Amino acid sequence: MKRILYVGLLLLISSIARAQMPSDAIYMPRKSVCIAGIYSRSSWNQYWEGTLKRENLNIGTHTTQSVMLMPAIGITDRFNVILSLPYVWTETSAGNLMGQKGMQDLSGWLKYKLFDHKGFSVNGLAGASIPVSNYVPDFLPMSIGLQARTVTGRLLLNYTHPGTGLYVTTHGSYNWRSNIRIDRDGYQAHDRLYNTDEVSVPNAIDAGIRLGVLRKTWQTEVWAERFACTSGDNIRRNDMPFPTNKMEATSVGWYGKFQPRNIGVNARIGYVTSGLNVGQSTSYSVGLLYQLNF
Amino acid sequence: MKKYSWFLLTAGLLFWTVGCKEPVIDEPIPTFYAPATTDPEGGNWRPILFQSVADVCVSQPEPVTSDAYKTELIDVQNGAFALNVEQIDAVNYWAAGGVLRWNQIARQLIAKYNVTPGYNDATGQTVPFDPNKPIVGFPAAARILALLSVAQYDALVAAWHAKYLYNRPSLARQGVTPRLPVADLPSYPSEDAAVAEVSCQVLALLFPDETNWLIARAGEHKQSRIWGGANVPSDIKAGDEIAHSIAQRVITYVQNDGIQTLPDVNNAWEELRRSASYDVKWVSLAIPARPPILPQFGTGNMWFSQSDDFRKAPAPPATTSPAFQSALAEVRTIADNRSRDEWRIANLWADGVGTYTPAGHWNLITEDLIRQDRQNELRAARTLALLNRALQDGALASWFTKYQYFVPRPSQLDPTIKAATEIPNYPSYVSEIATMSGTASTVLGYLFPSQAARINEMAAEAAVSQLYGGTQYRFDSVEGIKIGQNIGQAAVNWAKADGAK
Repeated sequence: MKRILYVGLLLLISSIARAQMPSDAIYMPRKSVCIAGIYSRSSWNQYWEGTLKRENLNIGTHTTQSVMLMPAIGITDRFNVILSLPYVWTETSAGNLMGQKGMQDLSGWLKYKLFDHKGFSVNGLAGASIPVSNYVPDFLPMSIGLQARTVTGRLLLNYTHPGTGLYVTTHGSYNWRSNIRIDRDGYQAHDRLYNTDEVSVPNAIDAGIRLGVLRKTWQTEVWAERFACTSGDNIRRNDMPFPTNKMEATSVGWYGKFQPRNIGVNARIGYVTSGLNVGQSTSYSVGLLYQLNF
Repeated sequence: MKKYSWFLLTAGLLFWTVGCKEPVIDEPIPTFYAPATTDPEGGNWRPILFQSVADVCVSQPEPVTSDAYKTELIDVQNGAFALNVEQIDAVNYWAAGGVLRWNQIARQLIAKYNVTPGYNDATGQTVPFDPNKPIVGFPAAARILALLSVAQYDALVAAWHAKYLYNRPSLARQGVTPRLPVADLPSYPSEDAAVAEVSCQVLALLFPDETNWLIARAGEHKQSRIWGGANVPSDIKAGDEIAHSIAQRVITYVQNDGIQTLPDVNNAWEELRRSASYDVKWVSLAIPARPPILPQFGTGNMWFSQSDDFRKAPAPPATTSPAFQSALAEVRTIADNRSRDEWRIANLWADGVGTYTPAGHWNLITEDLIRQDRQNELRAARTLALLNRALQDGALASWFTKYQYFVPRPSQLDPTIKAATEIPNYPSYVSEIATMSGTASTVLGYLFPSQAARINEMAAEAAVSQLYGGTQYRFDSVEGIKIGQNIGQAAVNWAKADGAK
């Protein structure tokens, strides 16, 4: 279930990127900064325990909320830096598991337009994240994150019709995730016992496609995304999730932005249509955007 | 702009390269050691399930001058030159110590079978129990480790007895250079074969579905000693002989120890709860409610004493008493303000579903102590047999006490108390984790006096861990440590008189 949270956050991060995010081909102009403040909420009452879809009365509905600050900085017209730092909290509607809260992981992206011709662009992105607080990583599904440091390489293609603003964007990425340390001396994973506190968090790939319209002051799109670990094990029957689990999720949703002047708003909704070792979450987020020019 | 694209391309390629390599876990690799002692008088140590190991028959070996033996020896010498990678890996794996390796295997099986009983949502019934797939809860795990360690210890006392009776010289003394550090012991019968076979048989009895896997492990273990140049096949065969006798004795013991590890299908526990003396009684906090784990476990035989004083902690304060109210308030305060270090302690010692349980955790700690002391196979088995019998008695005592009083978990009386772990589905008092900490630290403090301070520190931390976790009261730990130490002391008294120095 924790993984659910993580996926939720991943989706969240991607969505936020709409106001020039790691998942779009929009760039802040040189010497300008757009700061987004975003509130997100994601909840589920069913999850996949391995391939088995189930509910859990000892959890009821699991909810993850976060507020996040996300500046996008225009270094040049085709090179942006994007940072984000979320504060996350979790709770359940039933059972006795303590909700968790705290600053999660600071992430940063370098985004560079490699090629641009007649509305078609090829964009390369490199991202990394590090945990900024000592939250508990293996108290799933309540933990706010997995404590893994991550590095991501992403290729993003976009075609925008110059006249109408109709666009299609697609991306694919590889996420390398570091090993983590838990509070325990040993644990069970991959059908064996590890006598160490070090845990391998599986690497992951993610991909997305978006169709929409981008105009000067507004934007609307529908999207579909896929997140999948490249290895990992399933949640054991009736057991809690663990950071080694192979999480997969396919989600669909909508994103919109309206920014007539320096100040704007954005919103996003998402829904997980299928998955493995994740919760079937419904999520939404709303954000306030503020652009500064220097 | 060109320089950025350079940077990005390079960075991207770099990330891709590292990205394609999955992270690998570096488990601490056990160092091989030549044992610190050989304990030639070990054959006279007091066995557990036998009056005397002289009753365990081991046939007279062929003399080293016989043709049969010479052929065996040459085969071992020649075979050592033709090992493949898997065989060398096997030699190295088992060279870390047969007693310890089988203890690890038992811990792994315990974790694998330590699952929440299945529940059928449609019928509201727990899934029928399959005797081939036992559900190993907390107390049953302690018994499994005890039975394994007792079997290993008795088998090794018998092996030592025969070794020094027949005195077949080690292969190293006959010009074979072993691939691993080997104790300078008479080689007949092989102590590794005795451990492998008896461990395999005991674990197969307890985990029937794992039988084929266990037989394969035991076969590899025995072969590894031949590949490694430590034993000839007739040494192995004699070790097997010992193991068969011991395993029979263990099976008889298991059938008669009065310990109930099958689920309570007729809900006999409800009658126990009715007759319990406590003023507010435990109810399951699981949704839907489930029967408690092994309510009849605590009435079975203990290893070190059968007296009721030994297994029953004094009555806890009534829920209406000021002492109880302040204990409950303390749990609430900690839960509301749990520090990260309290989280760590609660996590470290909870050892719940899917783990090797607290008994397994103390075995892991003991494994480390055994290695530091470079104990030989016999001594390692003695250490674990003392520890695990005491842990089983500790588990029994805490279980017996739990079902005498049926003290509710803190969250039952104050639902606003949120826990750092799943709330175990059985009554709170007395803390099984504290009881076993008291037991383990008393036994280990005696066996490893130079480490006593560190061991006691760990035990004290473990004992309060579930108060930090929000699932138990301080009086659960305080009384748990006391009955645990009492049991530990009985094990120490046994150790003082078992003939080992």
